[in-house]
Amino acid sequence: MRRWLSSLLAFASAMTFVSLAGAHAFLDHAAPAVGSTVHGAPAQVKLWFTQQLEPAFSSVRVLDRSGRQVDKADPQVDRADATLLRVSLPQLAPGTYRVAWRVLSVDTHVTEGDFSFDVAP
Amino acid sequence: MGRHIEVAACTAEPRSLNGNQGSTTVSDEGELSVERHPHTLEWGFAIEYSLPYLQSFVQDVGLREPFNRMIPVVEFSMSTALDRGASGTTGTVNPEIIWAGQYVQLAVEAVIPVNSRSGSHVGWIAQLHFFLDDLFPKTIGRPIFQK
Repeated sequence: MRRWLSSLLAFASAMTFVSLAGAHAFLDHAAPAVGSTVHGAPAQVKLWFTQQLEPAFSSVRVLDRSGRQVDKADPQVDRADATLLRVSLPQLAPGTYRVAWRVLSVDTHVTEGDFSFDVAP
Repeated sequence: MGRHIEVAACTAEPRSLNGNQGSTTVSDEGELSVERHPHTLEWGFAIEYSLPYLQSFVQDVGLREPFNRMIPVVEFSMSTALDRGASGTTGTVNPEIIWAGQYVQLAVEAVIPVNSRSGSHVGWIAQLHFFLDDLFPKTIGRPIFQK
């Protein structure tokens, strides 16, 4: 009886941990890279995630140091690679920019985050 | 023929009452012992460094698989006796490496006693967790109730 109860408790604990630790769509890598400095203004920001994204509920914005949105407001999930989210950029002046993303993975979990990159002359 | 009956009752309080009766020959001898355990303060903390967070939010330092999904953790788990004539602290320091993949999470943990009262050998724990919602995204990975 005690062994049966211990097994039940261990299974319940494991299930709880699974629900807490479930993997969602996290940023795998980006271009420009997280925290990097690029020479010359990039034409796009590209984000690759660890899971496929739902296009209708996934977005990314690029903000300047004052918090003003500077991208072309055309975020889209790549049709051939649903893990890739991109947004177009105008000619950016040298400075620090923040990329803020919020995505919905195909398993219906929402994740969000941000990072910065620098544009050098 | 010997006969041995042992009864233990534990409550939420840090004490237990143990009744112990035994006989190896025909005898009516018995004994009753009462153990009074001290109240203890359970305390601890953990230090971790998330390499996935470093890569995705701070600085892409170029880590690749499997290192870009590793999380080193050091956990301190202690117990300090507070009263009833007991004193001192026991506990373990548990350095751990976690690798969090897309569908499973692996971890290896050492359990190191902090002093001789806590133990004399290093123990090991290995863990394997499955992310069921990612393994089965179209069934149990979906919300039960959706708008």
